[in-house]
Amino acid sequence: MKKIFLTALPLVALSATQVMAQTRTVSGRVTDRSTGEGMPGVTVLLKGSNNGVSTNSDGSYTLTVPATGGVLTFSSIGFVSTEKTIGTDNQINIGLSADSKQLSEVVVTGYGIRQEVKDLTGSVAQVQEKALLTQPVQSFEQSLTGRLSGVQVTNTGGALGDATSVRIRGANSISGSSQPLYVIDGVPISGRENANVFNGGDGTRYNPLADINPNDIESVQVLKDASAAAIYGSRAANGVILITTKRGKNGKNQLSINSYVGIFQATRLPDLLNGDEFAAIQNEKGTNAGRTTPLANDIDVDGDGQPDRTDWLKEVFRNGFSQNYQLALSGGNDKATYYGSVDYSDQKGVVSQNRLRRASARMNLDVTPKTWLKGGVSLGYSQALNKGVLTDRYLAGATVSGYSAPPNVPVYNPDGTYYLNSLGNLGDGRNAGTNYLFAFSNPRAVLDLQRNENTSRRLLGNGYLTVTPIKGLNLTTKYGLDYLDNFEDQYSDVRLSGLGRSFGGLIQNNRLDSYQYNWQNFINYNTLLAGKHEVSGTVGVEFQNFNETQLYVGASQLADPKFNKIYDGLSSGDPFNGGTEFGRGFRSYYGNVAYSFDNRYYLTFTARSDASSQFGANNQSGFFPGGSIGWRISEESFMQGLKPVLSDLKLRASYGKVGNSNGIGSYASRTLAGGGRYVDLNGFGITQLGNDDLRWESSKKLDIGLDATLLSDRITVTLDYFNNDIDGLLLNAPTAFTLGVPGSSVARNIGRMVNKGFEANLGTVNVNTEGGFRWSSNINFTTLKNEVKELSSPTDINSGVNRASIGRPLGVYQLIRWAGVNPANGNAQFLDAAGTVKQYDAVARKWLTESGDATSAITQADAVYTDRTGYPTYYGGFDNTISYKGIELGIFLQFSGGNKIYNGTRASLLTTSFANNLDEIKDRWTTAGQNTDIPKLVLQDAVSTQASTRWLEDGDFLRVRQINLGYNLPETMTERYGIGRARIYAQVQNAFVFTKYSVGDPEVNSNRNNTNIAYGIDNRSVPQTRAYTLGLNLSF
Amino acid sequence: MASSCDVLTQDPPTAFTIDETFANPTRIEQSLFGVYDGLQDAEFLGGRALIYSDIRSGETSQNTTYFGNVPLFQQLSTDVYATNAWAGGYRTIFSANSFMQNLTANQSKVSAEVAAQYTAEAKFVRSLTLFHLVNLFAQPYNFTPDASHPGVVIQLTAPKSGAEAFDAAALLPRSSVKEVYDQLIQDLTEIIPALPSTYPDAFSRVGRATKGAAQGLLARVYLYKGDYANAALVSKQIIDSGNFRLNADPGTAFSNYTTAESIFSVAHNLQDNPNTNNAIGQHYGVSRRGDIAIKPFADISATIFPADDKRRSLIVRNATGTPFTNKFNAVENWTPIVRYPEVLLTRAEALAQTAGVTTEAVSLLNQVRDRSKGATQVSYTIANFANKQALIDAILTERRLELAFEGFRLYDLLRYKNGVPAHDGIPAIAYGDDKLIFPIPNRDVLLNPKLVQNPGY
Repeated sequence: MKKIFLTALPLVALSATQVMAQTRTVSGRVTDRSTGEGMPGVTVLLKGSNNGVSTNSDGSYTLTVPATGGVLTFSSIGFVSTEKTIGTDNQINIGLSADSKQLSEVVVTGYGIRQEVKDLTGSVAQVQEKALLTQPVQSFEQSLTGRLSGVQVTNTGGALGDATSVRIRGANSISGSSQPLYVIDGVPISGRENANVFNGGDGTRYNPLADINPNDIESVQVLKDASAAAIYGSRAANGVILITTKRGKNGKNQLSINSYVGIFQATRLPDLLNGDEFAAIQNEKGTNAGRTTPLANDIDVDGDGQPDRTDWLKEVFRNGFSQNYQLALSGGNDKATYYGSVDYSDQKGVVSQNRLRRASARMNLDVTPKTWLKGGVSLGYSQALNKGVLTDRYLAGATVSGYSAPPNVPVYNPDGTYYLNSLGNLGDGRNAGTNYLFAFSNPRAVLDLQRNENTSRRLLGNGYLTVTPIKGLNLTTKYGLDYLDNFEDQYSDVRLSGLGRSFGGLIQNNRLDSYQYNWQNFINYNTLLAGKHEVSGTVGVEFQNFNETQLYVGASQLADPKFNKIYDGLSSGDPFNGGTEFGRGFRSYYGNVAYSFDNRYYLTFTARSDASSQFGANNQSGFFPGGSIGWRISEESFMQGLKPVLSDLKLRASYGKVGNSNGIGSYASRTLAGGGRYVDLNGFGITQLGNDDLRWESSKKLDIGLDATLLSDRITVTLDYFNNDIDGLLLNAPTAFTLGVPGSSVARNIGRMVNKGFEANLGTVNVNTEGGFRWSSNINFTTLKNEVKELSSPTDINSGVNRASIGRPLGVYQLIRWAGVNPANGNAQFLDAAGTVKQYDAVARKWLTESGDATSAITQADAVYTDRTGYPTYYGGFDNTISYKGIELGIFLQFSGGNKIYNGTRASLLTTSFANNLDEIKDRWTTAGQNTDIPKLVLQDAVSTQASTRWLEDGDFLRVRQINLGYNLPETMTERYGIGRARIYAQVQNAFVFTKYSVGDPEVNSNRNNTNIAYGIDNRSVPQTRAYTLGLNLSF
Repeated sequence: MASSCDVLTQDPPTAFTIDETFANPTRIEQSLFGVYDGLQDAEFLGGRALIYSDIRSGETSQNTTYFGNVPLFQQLSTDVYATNAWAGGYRTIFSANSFMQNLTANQSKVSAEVAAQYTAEAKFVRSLTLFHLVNLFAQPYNFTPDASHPGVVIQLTAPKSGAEAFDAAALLPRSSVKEVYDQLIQDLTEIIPALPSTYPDAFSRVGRATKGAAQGLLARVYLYKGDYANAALVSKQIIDSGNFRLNADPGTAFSNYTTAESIFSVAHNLQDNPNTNNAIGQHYGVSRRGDIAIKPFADISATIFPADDKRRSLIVRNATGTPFTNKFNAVENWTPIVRYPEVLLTRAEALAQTAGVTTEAVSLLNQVRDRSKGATQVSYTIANFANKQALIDAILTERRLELAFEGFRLYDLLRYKNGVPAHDGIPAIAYGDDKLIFPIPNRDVLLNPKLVQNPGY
């Protein structure tokens, strides 16, 4: 304290003495060149002296300088420092321009480790605020789609709150999770992927990443290789996504208002049969199977003299609507900065009744009371109510009953009640009521009467304190918390089949409480020796604990459907209740050293030791080292001649080992004996078989890259080759059913696989005229090749039609081969294992050779490996921005391909059971000699429609993901109204998709995060949406 | 810092170690109840195991929408119902085997008598499950003269760790049907002396294994095997025990689960049951899911199933007149396994087979028939039966009516080498047809190359 006071004194004294000397006074105003606003807090310093001041709130300053003049330097963080020689004029006004380079080029990889991009030797990709802010998404990761090389973001469907699948450089695990580690403002958040319990987590939906308001995000960084990610050790195998929220800036008090409204539409809905076509096709199915009475008959329930017709797609889907409002404040001075925001969004989905409302608030404060002391807090709270709908996983779902229900019955009875049969399913009309594909629900009634609500309340926060006892040395302690209170509320109406009818109306509630704390303590040191040797180091320790409890209650036999929540005295059934609890912890030590010489040679080494409670005592700890080297060739003397062309060129390589423990249970290594109740008798039974040998999954990652900047920053190029060798793959590995192991699986390190590929990123400024016309583009491209190298089991790991098989890519399809339709008789044909054609006579239920002799059946023994998986082998994006005087046009294309999608939606909509079909079924075989791909329709012929290569389709697509037109109002106009900046924009999201995919959207994955083996299955996912949005950004 | 190190010490709040669950006599008994919990498996003897045979017996309607290709005799080896049934059955067997293994390791903590009884109870659960597995997944005993055709896997041990579960060399092939029956006969014969005749409380008398339960199952095993002498012998032991008797009304046992007519059932209640998608009452109940209508059964000719037969009152119709059984109509319905009428009819049939038309056989048949028969029908006498076959036919008809939807009809057809008649749009399936039995799930065939798939799958 005393020391600070003492050093301050001479400065004052010095100023005092200078006043004595012959002086003059200069004054002026510093403005932001882009906005023309006055800039407070700019340091104005007489060069070569300690004489300086800060600008005041309107950017003006007054400084006493020697009469002889001198040079003034104007500096402010985030702006290019500018010098101005003091002439004769005592008035010096100046405009500073933002240093965009400086802002974007510092990367904080965690635990206080900072690196400038030019010095990076690992593979790190970044997205800045601007790309995030201009997209109307519920959750930030959706806006990363196609933006970054090596990062594949798949939107699983168009239901609100649907989680997104994010894969960095491929699926790097075959366990339940290949989700990257998310770190917000330096604190890892809970890895809980699906907090929903009812309907297997598929009714109510909640995306935990949506709790971070995209509008509050300053930047997103993706650590892709081991040297960058090794500091996160055991959790980094799937890559790390660092999210930095906005913080106040010194000297700028700003208030912003952001808002958008938009309309959503479902795209690529299936083309279904109308009522007349439906009846004709169903009756043909019956006739071919020998039925003498028609299966489908018209009915006229409303008595209008016309047969009743219903287009169920119109009943289920609608135009969605969304609106979002945000108020943000930020600013500060050199001692304290603040950022605060509140946000409200309301989204009505494309499925009727689907609605998501969210309110969130954030407050980030940083205080530097002393030059050696800094502290801050970051708090984000989000509350969301998602009115969910049952969709693809449930017979009553909007895309299940909604697609398959007969179109020849009405929605309502004449009295306005729902048209239902005695079982609470959709009324049968005059249809025979037999041979249904399944018992159809009345999709409209299900949407209107049932409730699947989810209310999430999430608090994400951290506080830190940094002490700087000597220059270059920082001691930091940081405590972060992630608290989630998730409430699921499900109601099943007594009028409808299922739970409601069975329990006289049923309400089920589940409250999930999860709490994670994370405490980090680390020391950073950096110094420059002899002007050329830059050395930095970090050591630290981290503890993390996660605990979750759940409490479940239910009420049945309701007094009346009106009372469809749990109220005292308004239900008479026996109450239900239950609950669970689990926890897990991490303890880690880590360190990092980095050395660079003369901005030319770089060397880093990182190591982390993690211990996790999830593993057996013998294998609790893992050690994860990583290192990298870099050579900035452009700084070599022999390259100086090339500088005008090649301003920057760097070669880099990294190698390291990181780990993964995601996707296995908290107590995965242990044998557990849990509850085994038998009616009124309490019992115990084995609920999980343990594996003492369970250990980390480890990924050895190699990355070789090149960064270049050409033609005075007009062209930037980044190239990377990567090779991830993942050993000890964690999987809840299937055990033979005959062993009866609970869950039919045991957590196990199952094998080894390799992901390798190539990434390219090319940024160009194509046109940049003096007149202000600018066209820039960015293209990124990733290739990916996977191969399973080893498996601990002698056989494949199977999941549906997909396999993990040695020597083949993960998730390879193994299927019976489809051989088309026999034109002579309309029989479906398949190939046996040897490649011989066999045909199936569905009427006689007999297998025949091609020439018509009886033969053995085609079975799963005839299934063969294909050479494809559901994973794209290449993907990328192509972004174009054209701007001219405040007008900005962005066109963003996304592409992906090389994969096959198993189109289960098409398979089930070409069923031979009684159900609505795709329009294409009209091409079915009817007459001898007819060439078609749809066999003769024989009622409930399960063989012709069985899983085969018939349903495998190319997943290639090119999507016009975003067209964005923005306009910055000119200063002349904004100044008149006292506005700092005003921008309006209009955009179309998912404008169009070019694909050969037949029904639905090829960007699909019905299995969500369940498994990495059964990837690329399309089974009635809610269609992707197209959004038209109108937005406004205002700042004062 | 010291407290933070504790993050690595995490004990599961909702589970014990195995040793803890066998720490004292109370917990050992609770672990035994865990075996019955295993028996409640929603995919198997919670009810589905019975349904899977009945919806393929010709007695149910076409609109058994819920069960996909099962009632259509069109399953593929990837069929989800076959897969889940196979998995569910062996899951139950795991709970019985692991209990027996752990009890052996902790035997000193209970008396030898208690240990023997508990082991017998667990073995009963295993036998019951194995029997249903072999019936569903293998052709009947009489399919080959020496029953040497493939049965199911006889799993008598439970893996104790992941390492054991992944030992591919230890995976077993299918045993022959004869070997499965031999195992069942050996186990059931062995446990009968150790099981109690009855329990002090009503729930346990039916919900836990008794001598009568094991004898009832053993008698059925002999009957399905065609060993009529032993079937007659064992069923007589049950009758002679005097522990069981018929209720006045044939419907009582389906709402009052612990009467003396019920010898063994898998118990359920509102809180502990196979849930709305799997409970037997949910599938059959007209006011529940109503997945299974029973038109062919309701349409049985009045000459053999008179309109005033009391068992007709167990048929209910919905608003449009579609018939359903009322034996099962709630989520908490118990799954009946052995009822006294079956035992009477088993002895009657076994006697008919071994001794032809006898007074005792006719009298046993009458015991069951007389409580339900129509007013105009008279009790049978020896004179009603021209020969042994006529008596057997009458007994089989009585089984059809009395034991409907309790998992008997299909096997009664098959053990006399009858196929399934055409019904409600489904063509006749001949005895011996490949599709009369379930496929071995493809998942296990791939995991265990020793498993031979059933022909046609």
